Amino acid sequence: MKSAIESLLYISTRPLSFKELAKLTNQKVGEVEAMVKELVDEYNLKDGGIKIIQNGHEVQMTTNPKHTELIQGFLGEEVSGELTPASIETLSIIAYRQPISREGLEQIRGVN
Amino acid sequence: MAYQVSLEKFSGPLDLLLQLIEKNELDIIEMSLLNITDEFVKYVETLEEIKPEELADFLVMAARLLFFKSNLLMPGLLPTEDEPDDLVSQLKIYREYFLASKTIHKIFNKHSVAFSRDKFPSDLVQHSFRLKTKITPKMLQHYCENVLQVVVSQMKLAQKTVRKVISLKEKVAHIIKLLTNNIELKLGSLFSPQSRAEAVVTFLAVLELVKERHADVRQDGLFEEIAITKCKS
Repeated sequence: MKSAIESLLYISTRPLSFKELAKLTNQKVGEVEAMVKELVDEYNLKDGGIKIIQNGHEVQMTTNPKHTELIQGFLGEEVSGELTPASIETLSIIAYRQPISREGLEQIRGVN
Repeated sequence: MAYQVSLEKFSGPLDLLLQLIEKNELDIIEMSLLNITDEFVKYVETLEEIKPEELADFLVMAARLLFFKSNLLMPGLLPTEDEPDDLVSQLKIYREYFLASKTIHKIFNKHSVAFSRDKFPSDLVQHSFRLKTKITPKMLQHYCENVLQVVVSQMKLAQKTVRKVISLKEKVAHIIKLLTNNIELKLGSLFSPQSRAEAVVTFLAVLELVKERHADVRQDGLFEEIAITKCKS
């Protein structure tokens, strides 16, 4: 079943939740979680080309961040660009407090 | 005291407040706010190139600070609100995120990005499959020959169906030749039984000859045989 999860992660174009993976593979969420953890360790401990990023209850396969420029060139996409202090601030608050409403965001930043 | 700070550096009134506190090497406590209120208000007065909606945030903060200061200087004079304006804890919370944003900015500037698939490449889906049985080159040759045989037999079939149909011009010439040798021709004798197409061409040829006044047609009665004779002129 671990290989099934691995295949799903490979082909998916979005992060998959434990719940979703459990439903797809007909397994219990707890079992899926354990298998995902094994996969995450396998992929992230070695210095391979593919990493698995886990965000809360969701996982997704990505390229190794080490190859940013290479992949960027291949995709022909530009992801750099500067952020203003305000957008960095907003990004940080979202990173730590997600999900957060616009109202909550503005309250923390003291703007309206 | 004048501060060499450009407006772009501020992302909001709390940011300005925090920077004023840090410049004065103060902690985030009520007394600090008291000390820097005048500076904040003074600074807001100098703001010129700022969007009105952003300026409003600064003005609201200035008002809060002034209210806060008045309350501290003359306690009991102003009516106490139901919810105390807890600027200190708000500033403390803001400071946490402000510090976090510095770290996040550093991470962001590394431009270290992990990419994920964002769409299915069209050729990825069902890109390949694995055969369960073992296939040898010899087997491939065998199957290939089988397929070739089918193709060849179909080509032969096609050749059969494309038959040459006699042209109108040839038919006209043929009938004229016959008319020079015979006084009268029966139309029925001109049709060859095999080909419907040729019958049509023959019929058209006769019509053409009549039109061009090379031949006359005559029918003695209903459903009688049509006779073709050479034009007398």
